[in-house]
Amino acid sequence: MDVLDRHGWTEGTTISVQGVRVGFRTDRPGVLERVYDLLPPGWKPSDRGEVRRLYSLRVGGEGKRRGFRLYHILYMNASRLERSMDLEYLFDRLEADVQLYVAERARRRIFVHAGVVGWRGKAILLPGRTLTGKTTLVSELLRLGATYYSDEYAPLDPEGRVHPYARPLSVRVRAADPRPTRQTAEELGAEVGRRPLPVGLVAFTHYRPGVHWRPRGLTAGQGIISLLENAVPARRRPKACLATFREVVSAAGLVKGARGEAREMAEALLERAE
Amino acid sequence: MDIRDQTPKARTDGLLVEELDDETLVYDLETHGAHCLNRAAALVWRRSDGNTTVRDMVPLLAHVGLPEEEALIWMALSRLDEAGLVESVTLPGAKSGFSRKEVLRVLGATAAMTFILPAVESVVAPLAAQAASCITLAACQKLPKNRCGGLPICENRSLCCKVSGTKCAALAC
Repeated sequence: MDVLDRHGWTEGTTISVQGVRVGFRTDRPGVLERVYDLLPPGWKPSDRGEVRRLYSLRVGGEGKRRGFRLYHILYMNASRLERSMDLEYLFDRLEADVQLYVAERARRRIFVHAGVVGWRGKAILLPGRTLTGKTTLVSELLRLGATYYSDEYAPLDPEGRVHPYARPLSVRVRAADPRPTRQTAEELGAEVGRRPLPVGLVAFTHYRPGVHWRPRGLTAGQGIISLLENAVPARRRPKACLATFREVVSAAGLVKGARGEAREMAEALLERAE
Repeated sequence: MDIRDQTPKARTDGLLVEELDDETLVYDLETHGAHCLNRAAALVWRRSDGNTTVRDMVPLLAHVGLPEEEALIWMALSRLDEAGLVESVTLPGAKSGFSRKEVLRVLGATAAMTFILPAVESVVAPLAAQAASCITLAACQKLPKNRCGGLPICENRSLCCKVSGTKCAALAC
């Protein structure tokens, strides 16, 4: 770390989000402005300098010798997390790493990998990991009038309510797109939720072409262990996860099943959540 | 000794237990397995105290509305054994498990009854990194083939970390 500390860092900041503090520094003026756009929703600047996690971004590009290019390098504490000639790629990595760190360490919330929308005063939770079609389904629900809460993580409080985590949606126009496009809920004509909501429906689903959604109901216990499968701090805080999920399932409908096209599923979900 | 005189013993150390109305949840702090026991399985697990014989457990089945059939106790024990929730149990006839089909045949019951048969559903709690939105190519290539996970590759999200022969590699999602 000492060697890294001696590098000529020109900008740095500490932020606090969900009770977790994270530091950033870079050697290129102006880069921090870009980093701010990548931070988890609800972050605030922190005046306490001490952090357990410090990201350092060394910007490369044109070297001093003609024709030489230097790698951009991202460090997490003393370890090199990634290096690349593509600075945007490092921003993506930084964003994913920070979000995951906060999701795992958040003090008063349990983060579940899930898309979330609000409907008639309750939340519809769509747990699932990346590439299960969460964002497509959330987008479709927004087009049908649902309120946007999240397309990535559902932060749950001890009462089982879900809080907004409204980053712009990561939309893949084509499956082969290496980098998703960011779209705000407003661009989809939807409102963004501001207040925590009790969960009305949890639907465990994944996309399978040509399938009609015929979900089966889950028992409370099945719902809890299925939520656990998608919980970021499942191993770190299993007791808190179980207690929180118990609250969630106490009042929510629980269904599971493969889905086909998002539009059909979105309509069926809203009907079921009425 | 008659196999029915075994006194199964449930594991109790290193477990978190949550009682629900009709189910029992058990989280194993060693393996990070989470198990959902239905009423019949939970009943057998609770009575696996190291003193109660299999034979003595049979009449207890009436408490959950099941016929007093020894096969149901063995079925529950085999499920609990698979989940690592009881210390080693010797099943009759060197069987390693009791399928629902077999037990229903013994009971002369219909498929509609399957939901009350002893059942243990299990999942493994993910590592935080497994809930991540992508994995680097280098990290993917280092994984053993049974842990590829299918996550997108951070450098190119149209590729995913999947099994290729004996290792993990970046393949089309």
